[in-house]
Amino acid sequence: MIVSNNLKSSLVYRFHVGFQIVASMVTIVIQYFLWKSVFHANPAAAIRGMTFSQTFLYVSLATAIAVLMRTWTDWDICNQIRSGDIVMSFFKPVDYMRYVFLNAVGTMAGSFVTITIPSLVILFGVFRANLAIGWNIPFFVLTLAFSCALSFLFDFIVGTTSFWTMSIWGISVAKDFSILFFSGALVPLNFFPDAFAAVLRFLPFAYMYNLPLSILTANEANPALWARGLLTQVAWLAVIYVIARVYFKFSLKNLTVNGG
Amino acid sequence: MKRIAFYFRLYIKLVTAYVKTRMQYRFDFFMSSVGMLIYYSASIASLWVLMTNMPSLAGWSFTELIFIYSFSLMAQIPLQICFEHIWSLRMHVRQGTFIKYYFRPIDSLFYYLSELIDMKGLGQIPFSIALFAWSSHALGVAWTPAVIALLILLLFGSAAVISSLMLIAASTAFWVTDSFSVISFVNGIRDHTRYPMDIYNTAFKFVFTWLIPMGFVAFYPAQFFLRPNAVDWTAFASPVIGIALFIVARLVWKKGMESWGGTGS
Repeated sequence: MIVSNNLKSSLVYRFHVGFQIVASMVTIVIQYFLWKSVFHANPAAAIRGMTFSQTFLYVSLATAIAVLMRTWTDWDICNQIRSGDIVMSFFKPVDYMRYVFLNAVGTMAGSFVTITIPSLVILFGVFRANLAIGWNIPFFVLTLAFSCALSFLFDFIVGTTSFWTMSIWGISVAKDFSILFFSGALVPLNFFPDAFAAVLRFLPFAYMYNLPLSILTANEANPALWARGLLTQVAWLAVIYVIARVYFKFSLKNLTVNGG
Repeated sequence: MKRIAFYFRLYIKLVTAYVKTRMQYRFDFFMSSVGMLIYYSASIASLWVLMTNMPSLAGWSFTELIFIYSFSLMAQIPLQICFEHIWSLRMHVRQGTFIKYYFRPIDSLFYYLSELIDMKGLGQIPFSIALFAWSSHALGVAWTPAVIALLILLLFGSAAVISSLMLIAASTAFWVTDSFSVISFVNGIRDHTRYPMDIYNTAFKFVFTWLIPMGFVAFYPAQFFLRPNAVDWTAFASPVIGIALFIVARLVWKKGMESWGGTGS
């Protein structure tokens, strides 16, 4: 119910959808030319093991995934705290985190239909992006689903922080861009200096963009390595889930809502 | 002239009053400034990572790219600080609260914009100037009084280009209920102004020069300081294009106010 409600409300704005498609087209075009000239400056066919078509597919899908993951969960939580409406959701028979999660899934489903699918059509139809099809697809879908869950948890933690700060813009922007940079969404981790990339691979962020996208664009299937990546991702998910739960419970004790 | 002085004094008064009300949210100001610095740092860091793989991007070095980026950030200072209220236009129009701007004896666009300023944007001033000073020092740009005068003129032009584009995007709210996608599209363009136009092919160079004139926000004017011997008219065109776009933006605003009929309440 919650999922389909949110999906429907995002389909109402047809103008919005049309313009979103134009916007993602322009972004894809800019990325195409940016990476084209990166590879032009470097006459070798592959830079750090990635060819132009792999890199282009990687970065343009990263942009599409970033849009997909933008569910404004942290903003919603902050607004509910500020207005005091959050108290109302405690009376509902659904667990609060679950309620917010279902809302986020609904928003994601809406963006998937209205933005992700058109972007994919442009990417494969107009730009003729190359994609090897095999075991990478199921692994990609599975790791991407967990990436979205990780993104939700980070949003939830940032939203919970507004119990304390009552302000959201700064922390939310800081979170968004730290994740984009450290996860290899802006530049794939392969392009980072080795020592830097080695450190980043120890952090949970690498499992949000770099893992699914490097699986999808891999040169050859490596199910053993992918399974290990998947397991590590699930472990991170469990750890961050517990942190989010405990942090929310702890912050709730601190909550004061103006009466009325 | 007298009119400009009047509006200037009025702006100072209104803004001072606004800043006073915001002073109670010091923590918010601090957090927002930190968020903004992280955003810019992520942009610079990704340029840096990219450039560890190659000597130049379409012939431009890392330091030159930083110069272009900081030029773009400086050109966006007025937009960031003084045009913050355009983000709320679609809310005011949808909820009908925009009606009050019809009943003031002063210019409606001026009054609307002067109602609030973006405090966190103040951090952009020292940040972008420091970045600009560092990169121009590293590149050995010779700053004579004439060059500085030209810099100010070109910055003024670039600021007018990007502010007017955002104002036009925001004004679509008068006609379309959900205009958020338009303003966030143009806002996304701001980010891409840091890339040299040389990376595009002829067709898209045309698009980004004439249809979405983002080349004039940073790259074209910055060329003059980086390669003074290899520039064409585009390096000096931003003030003219900026003023033209601002006239268009004011016209769009005026037409929008005429066509918007309120919510009926």
